[in-house]
Amino acid sequence: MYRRLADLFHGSLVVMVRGKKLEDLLNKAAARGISLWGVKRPAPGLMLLKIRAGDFPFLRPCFRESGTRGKILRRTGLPFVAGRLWRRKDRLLGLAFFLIALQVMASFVWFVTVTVDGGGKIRAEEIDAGLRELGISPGMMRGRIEKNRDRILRELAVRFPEAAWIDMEIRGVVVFVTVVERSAPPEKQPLPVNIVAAKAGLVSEIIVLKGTPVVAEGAMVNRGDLLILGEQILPRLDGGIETRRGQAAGIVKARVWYETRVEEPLVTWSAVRGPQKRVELFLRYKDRFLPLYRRGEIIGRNYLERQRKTLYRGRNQINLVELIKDVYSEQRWVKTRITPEEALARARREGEMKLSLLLAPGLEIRDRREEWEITGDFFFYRLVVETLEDIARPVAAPAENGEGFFPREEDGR
Amino acid sequence: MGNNGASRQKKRWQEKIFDLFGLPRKVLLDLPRLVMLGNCRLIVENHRGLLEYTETVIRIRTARTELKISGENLSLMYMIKEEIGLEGKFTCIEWSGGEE
Repeated sequence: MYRRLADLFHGSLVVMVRGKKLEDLLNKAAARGISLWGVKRPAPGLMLLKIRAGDFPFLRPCFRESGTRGKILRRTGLPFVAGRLWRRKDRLLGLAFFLIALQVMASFVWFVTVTVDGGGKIRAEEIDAGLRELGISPGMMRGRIEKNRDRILRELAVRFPEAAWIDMEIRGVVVFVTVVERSAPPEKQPLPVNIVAAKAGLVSEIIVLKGTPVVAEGAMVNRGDLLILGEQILPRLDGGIETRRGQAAGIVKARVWYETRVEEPLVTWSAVRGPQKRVELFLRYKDRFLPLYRRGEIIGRNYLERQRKTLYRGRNQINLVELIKDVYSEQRWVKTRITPEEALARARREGEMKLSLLLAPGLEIRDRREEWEITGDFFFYRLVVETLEDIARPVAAPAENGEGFFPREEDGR
Repeated sequence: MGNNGASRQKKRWQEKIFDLFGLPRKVLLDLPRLVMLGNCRLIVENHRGLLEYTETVIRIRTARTELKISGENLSLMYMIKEEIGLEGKFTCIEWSGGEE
């Protein structure tokens, strides 16, 4: 392979030799270092052989010495082709023109092939038309398509939403556009849904969007009661009715009451400091306490207040020494009675706090009632507020065979 | 005759020395080396020239003997100073003349 390439590059000659001592010629040529190949004897006294073009001048003396005559039959290889072309400028020009034309033609797209894979929602002609509108047609420059490839693919995806995947590939002068259709999953049948009461209340307004109402305005309902059944009753032409299960929808406004109770004691015990006091003074060095001073005495329960005074930090960096002053005060419990007005204010504050935990934010309070009474040393307070709110809550309907969950148990408050 | 006897003696001494040192004879004794692929291709190394070249017989001179190859459609693939490549259908290869 290498030798053939080298021969092509350097050029080779087919030489016809005539004479009697042809073997002698071969020996002399080999002795001079000339490589010979393809040696054939088509007839007695005649021989064809191949040599490199550059070796022919060295072969001439061999002809003379062996008494043979040689003649070049054919010249092959790059130097001879180049020489011929150089002598015939028109051919060279034609070759250059051909190469340039080939290069120019190869920089254009000449065919657009569209392949659609899917169930037939998208037709190849539609894609073809879309491509033409986007400027992809035979005769367009390859570079421009490659530059706008992403934009074209995005445009195609917008124009054909049924396509799950679109790809464009340029191979040579052909644009291959592959479109794969989207295969949608089968539609799910919606489960039947009932509307139940999220809270206990008095129904004041009911708007049924879908389904059959099972309560009327003015009805008192508890949490979990069925309000709108997820069934539609349709009259038939023959006079009968047909029941169809579906998803109930609607708004059920009800008056809902919230109640909080607070018990506030009127008499309370509180600790106060008595007149007796004891003061102790210590000096602490590491974990040792050195008592310095003590005054006063307390009998019974007391209250301790400790004061620490650290000495100058400059020479006491690790807090080795400090002065501790303990003050023990007498503690006395005294009975205090608050007024009903003060108890009411306290109960109101606590009631509002409890109510804020019950009410949803943004809920409008329509009515508010307060009740209180004093029984012995206790103040009983009751706060009731009324709101108007939508208590409809959709829950999955139990199955027709009776299985399924009971919504009253499911929701919590 | 005397010259021939001297050269034989020289050759014997050479062989003895090569055997003594375990050297391959082909390296220094100019022995030809034949590489044959089936009966269709033959490479002869260390030749001394071509004596006859026809389509049925090719004779090659080697250092001490002559190699005669007979066959059909014989041709010379290539020939360089050290090596000759032959192809064709070989039927007989024989050594003649001289002694090895």
